[in-house]
Amino acid sequence: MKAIPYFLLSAVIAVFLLAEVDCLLAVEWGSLSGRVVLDGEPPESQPINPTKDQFCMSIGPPNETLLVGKDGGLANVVIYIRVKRGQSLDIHPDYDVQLEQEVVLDNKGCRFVPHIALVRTGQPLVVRNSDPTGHNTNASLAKNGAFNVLIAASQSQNMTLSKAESLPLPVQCNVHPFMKGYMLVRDDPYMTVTDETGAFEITDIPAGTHEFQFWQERIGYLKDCKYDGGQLNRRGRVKLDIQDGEKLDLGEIEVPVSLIK
Amino acid sequence: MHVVFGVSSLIMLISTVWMLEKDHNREWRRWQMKDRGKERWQHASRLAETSAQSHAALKGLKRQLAEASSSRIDHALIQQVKDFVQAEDARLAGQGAPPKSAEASLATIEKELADLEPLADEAAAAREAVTAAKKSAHDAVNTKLAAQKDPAQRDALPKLTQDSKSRLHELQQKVQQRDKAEQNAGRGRKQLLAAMNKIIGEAKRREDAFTVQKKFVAADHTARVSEHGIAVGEGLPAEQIDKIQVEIDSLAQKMTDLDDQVGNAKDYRVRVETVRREIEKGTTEIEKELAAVQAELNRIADNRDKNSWNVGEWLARRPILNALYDGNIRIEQTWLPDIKINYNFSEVPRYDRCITCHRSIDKTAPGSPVEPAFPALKDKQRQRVVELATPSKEPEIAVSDEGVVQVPTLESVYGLTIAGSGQIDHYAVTVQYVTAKSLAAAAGLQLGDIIREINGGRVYSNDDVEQYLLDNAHWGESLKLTIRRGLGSPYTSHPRLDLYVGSMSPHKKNDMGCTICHDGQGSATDFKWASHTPDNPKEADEWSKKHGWFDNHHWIFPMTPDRFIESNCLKCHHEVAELEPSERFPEPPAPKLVKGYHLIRQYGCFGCHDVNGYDGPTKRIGPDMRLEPNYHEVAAAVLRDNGLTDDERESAATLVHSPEVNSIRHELYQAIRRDAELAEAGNADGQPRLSAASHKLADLLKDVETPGRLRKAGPSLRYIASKVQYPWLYSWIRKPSDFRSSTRMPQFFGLHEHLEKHIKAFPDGQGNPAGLTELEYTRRFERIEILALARFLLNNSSKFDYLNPPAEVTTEPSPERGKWLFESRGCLACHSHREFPGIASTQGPNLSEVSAKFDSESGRRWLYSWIKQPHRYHPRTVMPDLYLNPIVETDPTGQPTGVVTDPVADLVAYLMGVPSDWKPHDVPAETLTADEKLALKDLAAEWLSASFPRKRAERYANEGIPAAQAANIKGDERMLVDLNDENRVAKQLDYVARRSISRYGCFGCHDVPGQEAAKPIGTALTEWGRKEPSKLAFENITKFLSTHGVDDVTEQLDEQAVNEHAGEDHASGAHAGNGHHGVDPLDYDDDTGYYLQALNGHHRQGFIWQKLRQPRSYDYQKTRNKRYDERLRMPLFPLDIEEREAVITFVLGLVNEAPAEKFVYLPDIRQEAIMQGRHVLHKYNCGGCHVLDMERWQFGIEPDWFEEPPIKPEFPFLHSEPSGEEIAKSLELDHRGLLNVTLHGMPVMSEETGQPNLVDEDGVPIEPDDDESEPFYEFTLYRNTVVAGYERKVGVQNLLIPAAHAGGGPKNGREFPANGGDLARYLFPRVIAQEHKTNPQAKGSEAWGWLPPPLIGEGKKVRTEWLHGFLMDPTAIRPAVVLRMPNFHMSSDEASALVNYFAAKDNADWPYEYSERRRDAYLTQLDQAHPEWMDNAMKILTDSNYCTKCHAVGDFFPKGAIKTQGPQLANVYQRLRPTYMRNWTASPSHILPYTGMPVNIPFDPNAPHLGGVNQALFPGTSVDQLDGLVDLLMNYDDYTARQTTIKSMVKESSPAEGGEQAAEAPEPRPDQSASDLPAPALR
Repeated sequence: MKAIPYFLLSAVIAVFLLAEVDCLLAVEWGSLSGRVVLDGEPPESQPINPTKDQFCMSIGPPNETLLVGKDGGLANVVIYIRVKRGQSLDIHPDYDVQLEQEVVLDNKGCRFVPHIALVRTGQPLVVRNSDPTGHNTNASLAKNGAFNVLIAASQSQNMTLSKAESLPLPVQCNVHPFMKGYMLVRDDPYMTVTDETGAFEITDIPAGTHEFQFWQERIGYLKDCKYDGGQLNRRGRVKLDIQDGEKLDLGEIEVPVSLIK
Repeated sequence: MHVVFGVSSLIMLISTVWMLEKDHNREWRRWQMKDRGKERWQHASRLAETSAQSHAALKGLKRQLAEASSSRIDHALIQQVKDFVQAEDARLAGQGAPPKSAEASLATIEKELADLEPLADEAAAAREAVTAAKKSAHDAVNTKLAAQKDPAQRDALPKLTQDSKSRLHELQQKVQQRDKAEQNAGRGRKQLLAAMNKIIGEAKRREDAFTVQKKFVAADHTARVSEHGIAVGEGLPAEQIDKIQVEIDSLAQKMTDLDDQVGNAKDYRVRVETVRREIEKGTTEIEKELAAVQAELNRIADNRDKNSWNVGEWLARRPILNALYDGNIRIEQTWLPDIKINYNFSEVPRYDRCITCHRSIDKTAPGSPVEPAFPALKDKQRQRVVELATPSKEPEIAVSDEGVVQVPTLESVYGLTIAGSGQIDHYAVTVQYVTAKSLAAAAGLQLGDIIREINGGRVYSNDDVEQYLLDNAHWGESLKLTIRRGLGSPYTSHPRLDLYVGSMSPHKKNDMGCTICHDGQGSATDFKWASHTPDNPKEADEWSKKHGWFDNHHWIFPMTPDRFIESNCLKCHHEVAELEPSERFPEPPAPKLVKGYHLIRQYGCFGCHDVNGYDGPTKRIGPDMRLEPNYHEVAAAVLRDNGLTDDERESAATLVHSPEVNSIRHELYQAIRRDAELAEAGNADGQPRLSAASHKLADLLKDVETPGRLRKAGPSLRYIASKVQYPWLYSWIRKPSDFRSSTRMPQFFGLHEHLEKHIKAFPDGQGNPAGLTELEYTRRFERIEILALARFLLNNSSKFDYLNPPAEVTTEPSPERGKWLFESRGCLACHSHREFPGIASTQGPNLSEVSAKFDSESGRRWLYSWIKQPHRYHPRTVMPDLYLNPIVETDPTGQPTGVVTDPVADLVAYLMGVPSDWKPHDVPAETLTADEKLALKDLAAEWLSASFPRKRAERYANEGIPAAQAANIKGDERMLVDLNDENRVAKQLDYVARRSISRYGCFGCHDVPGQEAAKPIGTALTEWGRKEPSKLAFENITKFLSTHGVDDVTEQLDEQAVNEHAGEDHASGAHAGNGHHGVDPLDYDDDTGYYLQALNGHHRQGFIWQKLRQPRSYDYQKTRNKRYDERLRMPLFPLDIEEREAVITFVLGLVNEAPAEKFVYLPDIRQEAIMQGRHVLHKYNCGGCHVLDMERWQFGIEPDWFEEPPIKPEFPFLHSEPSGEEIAKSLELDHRGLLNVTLHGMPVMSEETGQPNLVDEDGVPIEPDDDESEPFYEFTLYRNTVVAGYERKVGVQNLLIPAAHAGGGPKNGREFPANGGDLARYLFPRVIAQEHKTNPQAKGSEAWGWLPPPLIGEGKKVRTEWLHGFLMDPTAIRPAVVLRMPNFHMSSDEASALVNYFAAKDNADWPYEYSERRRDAYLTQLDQAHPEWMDNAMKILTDSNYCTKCHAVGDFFPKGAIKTQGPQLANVYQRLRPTYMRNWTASPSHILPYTGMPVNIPFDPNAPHLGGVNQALFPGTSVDQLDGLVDLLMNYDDYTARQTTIKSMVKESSPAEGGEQAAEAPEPRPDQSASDLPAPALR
């Protein structure tokens, strides 16, 4: 009788030790891809009207709130995994190096580059101003607290963020109120933004069931959008089971134009 | 004789017994005994609850103790003791002392240690055996029970029963064995410890012996030392002295040795003791805990016993004996020597005995200093239904540790226990207590709840409850329990212990007593003699049945009924403003009273009714609501005099607009007096220039002792002809609410409900003495009166110069632009308009229909002039100058487009463009018909008959007063001198109008030309709250009510309705009840019933109620015997039922009974400033635009709800650390197990709707059709607050707060609304929508910066002198705002009051603030230390990256969108306090969370130079850079002044030629020589 707990204990210890040596033994990985397309004729975008600074007026930054590429591909849709409060995901060791890499949020040509910055907690974030004029970066972060710093021309400021946000949150410039970008801060690397064709891919996701969130700035949650064989819920979320080694492709996720605000 | 004696002694005996019996059975005893019973019940319940709670704990602790005291002892510890003993023995042996003292004890210890081991192991084994036996017994019992219910197992049942019995028996045996084993082991341990104690005792004895020895030696030593001193002093031989010294040295050595001995012995003892403590550690801690639990139980039990019977007390409670003994049953009283009461002509100290029966009045709930222990709930709140869930399946039977079978009980299943008896009613089935986190707790049941029904079935006994809840329950289905909660009076506590009675309150029971606030007969100890007053007739009925209550007319201070309880606050709180909600008392202390006060201010009751707060120049007796001296009216009247000199004219004109300037007033007074003296002296000294009227007015310019402060409520009528036309004016006077239903102007005419409609008794003017009914007669005259008034006002109007649009305007007026201006420029802060339903202010009139009012060219021009400069028309208006100057339009980048618009013209175009259906109707022509002329003559005669005999009056009315008599005629009658056919009608009208104005008192609210000297016409209200009811004319009123009904008639007063009413007239006795006075109060709702009862009882409350709702009804059946001008004239004010009651509450509080000075509310200097400021804030409606106090959310929340706040580096001076006390307080859990949180700020508003945003847990707005998501509010803090252990700072993050499911606000708590800011909130979504038109990317929260700023922290922010000037003459500050601070033309005193208010609120300095940064010494020192300091700061200021990106600085203005521009920085030194400027620049969002201003100079403790901006601009740390910038901005004037040279501009005279002058040339002045030195950089 007494031998069994002993055995169990040593087994558990062994598992932990092995896990320390190489996570791959315990966790398996898959990936998710797809393409977000706009179903219907996109509404005409009001051009950005730079109202300050000769520099900005001469450049005329584009309106990036709704970018529709060829075949209706919808760019700048953010896709990420929702994690319940207090839980976290296993992270593929290939991503470890990411934590050393800087994320640059640049003020360039009187717009934020990238338009939507994806940042992991603990990852170095550089807020840079590549323009010859002063910009301030006013980020309305919730869990991390808001910050609003002035970055003089050709200067930058370094920071790290420590808490995950549950949404992409706006980043603005009060000197140039026509500038607006977004920032998503997560604990894990499983987040992405669709490219100009609307395509996206998240790789090395730990196998298992996850809830994926789809969001776009003009639309908010991609409410009830359909894809081949499924549908997002009213909050633009869908639970997907990803098997080991599986490359799950959702195909085209159709967004009706009526969702655009 | 014997018989007489016998009978009389018998009578004596009987009466003595009777007396004793009466005394013994006095009513209060009964109440006290009941209350005592309730107390006992409460304590017993708490005891039961606590023992139930501690039962498990006690049991557990005892078990632990048994285990601990039967456990093994570590060998190592014992080994230590052995080592210590051996070491000590060795040490003692070394000294030759007898060792081996501890041998025997050591032996015992060794033996016991060896013995203990098997015993301890045995005990442990016995414990395990019990655990196993318990499990098997539990299983066996439940198996048996299952079998009992299962017929299939019936056969096995006997065996199972036997089995379970034997298992239980076995368990009991095991328990016995365990206890025995533990006892054995415990005994061994005890002996071991006793042996150890022996060792310790031995050591202690040795220690003590040495200590005693040392004491003797020390005494010797002291003696020798003093001997030595004497020897030296007496000059004894050296050897003798040396001898003593040798002795001293030897004694000192002895002392040192003994010290050492004591120390060693002590060390040894302590070491052994430490080991003993280590062994006992486990048990002592448990024993301590046990004692604590036991002590708490004993405390509650003591409390219960104090309120319980015992035999001795029972005896002592018998009649007669009880005189010797009172226990805690006795009359309780508060003696109040300083709060006197008027007992018919003498002032007597009060004895308030109310607490004799109201014994729990000051009891607070456990753990709270202010929450009432026994809340007084209204009857409706007491009755409630709760839903009690049942377990999903039948509960199991448990077996206790002792092997006893435990059947499920109410307590084990529901956590509910039922008491053996009720608290007050013995037979009530009452909840004794509820266990935390149980089903009963989830249902919300509480201690003391009476269970009346379960699932509709009546509950009569405790057994019934068990029946319903256990035996007959359907498991898994919930039950409906009908309960009654709380207690009735007198067992309840005071509902506001934070304000009254309580020890933390400002009105402590022992200082104030009860009757000063409640009135009533405080000395009484019987219900009926205490003069309780019921709040409604039902209560009265109940009381008289239950307690023999009656309306005692002989006690002149009956208790104030609930509805008017706030009245009595006025006795001490004369300013009223202090009764508004405050930081300390967020729950409004006297809402009804404050409402009444403001209604009276708004409706201007004080225009006719004097409310004088002073008795003499300084003695306050109550609230003071008097009109201000009408200097400005007098000045305006004097201005009409053509004889004025230019200087006098200028003085008068100034006085019209600034009547508070005393020097000018005095000058004007003197000038007119001098002229008047000329007139009085006759022609000798020259001709007077001014008219007699002006001379008369002069006296009104004299100083007034303690002048009133209130302005007249209505507009000036001095230039009325420039404003409105005759038809509108006629309609308005006839019935103001016809044009504007929300007006405050009362109705004087058409109040006819009391008039006879059928009986003809009045002359019709055609010679028929009884041709008209009362109604017809009255209408005939009223028509003439109104016509006369309208014509008089128009004819006596002065000329008004209209304003014209400025020349630079390039466009035509546009109603569309006007609409947006109307919405955004502040009009809606005071006015409402039907096209803007989202906001409804009542400060100014509703403007929906103005197009009908100003429907003429002159009306339009007047409106233009009024909007542009309201004070030109009416100097005392509170409508401000909105600075509606021409607008130079700009494109989105801020460049002028060349278009200039006139906002005033746009506004007029808009307002006049909103169509109105309203038309004047039934307006007689301005020229009179023959009939009207006849009526006019009759009316004039009616007026004249007040001064002349009737016959003569009629003659004069027609023919005029003969010129011969004119000299004797004073007053309005002079108008009637010299009548002829041409002027007859005009003069009669003039006369009638003047008489009507005097009669109705129009000048009480309006500036009426020619009435400057008039005095208020109404009854003074200063003491009305104590007015003798016998002086009030009730007379026919109950008759009127019983024949006309009691319906509220305010809604149906137009003539048509009255006409219709006339038909049913006397038939309308529907409500006429059977009461002895005609109406039975019980037939009506509680409110109406109360007043009817008060009317029946001839109480003033009833009188004033009826007076306010049907002011003329007291004339019912009296008008036939009155002249027309003797009739009642009180108008009807459009008050609704609640407003009326609020007004009555205030008036009833006017009693002129200020108690001794120490009780009158005497604010400290800051509170006084806040109160005075509030008056001005209300007057000008500052809160219409600005938030004056943020919302306050008070709620309970789960302790782990809030995460740690993010940590950001911040400048050291911004850093704050909450105190340990604050942190501990923020982590305290209340009785619900929640943290109590109070936040100041506001919820995040939706950018679309402007309403608080309901969001999900991610902060995303919840869609309206989403009822699954848990709702939350995001809350923006405006005050740093410690929450859940951490300080949450303004501007860092919004807090996510669970929302209440209904009605907004936080869950488990409540919100106290913001004070002010309606317009800002209304405009918030609208300015965002407007901005989105040109910039869809605009950030919503920034819109707060375009609106009137919240005035939070204003006192700490701005400099007092600047704010004073700004309030008097506001300048534009922020270019981005959509509206400007208007100019209210307030007086300097008012501006000061506001400045003081803001400073006082923030605890900032006032009236002056000292700013070191601007002082010479500071600047000189700075300049010496850092010569480049200011120049470097200027580099930051002017760098194109920083300040100038958005701010204008001097003559530099940034280009680009107006919304990105900030205030001019060149003059901030005038506006801002230096500390504020530093904190603001360091971290703007810490002050205003919404601001777009970024952190320009970042602070980073890990970066070189602590962060900061480029060193090329300003070398130094970020702190230096920030300080430099603040120094520069605070001295900007000085710094820039040094950039210009004056020296070169001033030409000094050159010395004249010649040596003489040269020789006399004066020495150069010191400052001249100084100027030759190199100029200092600063000053």
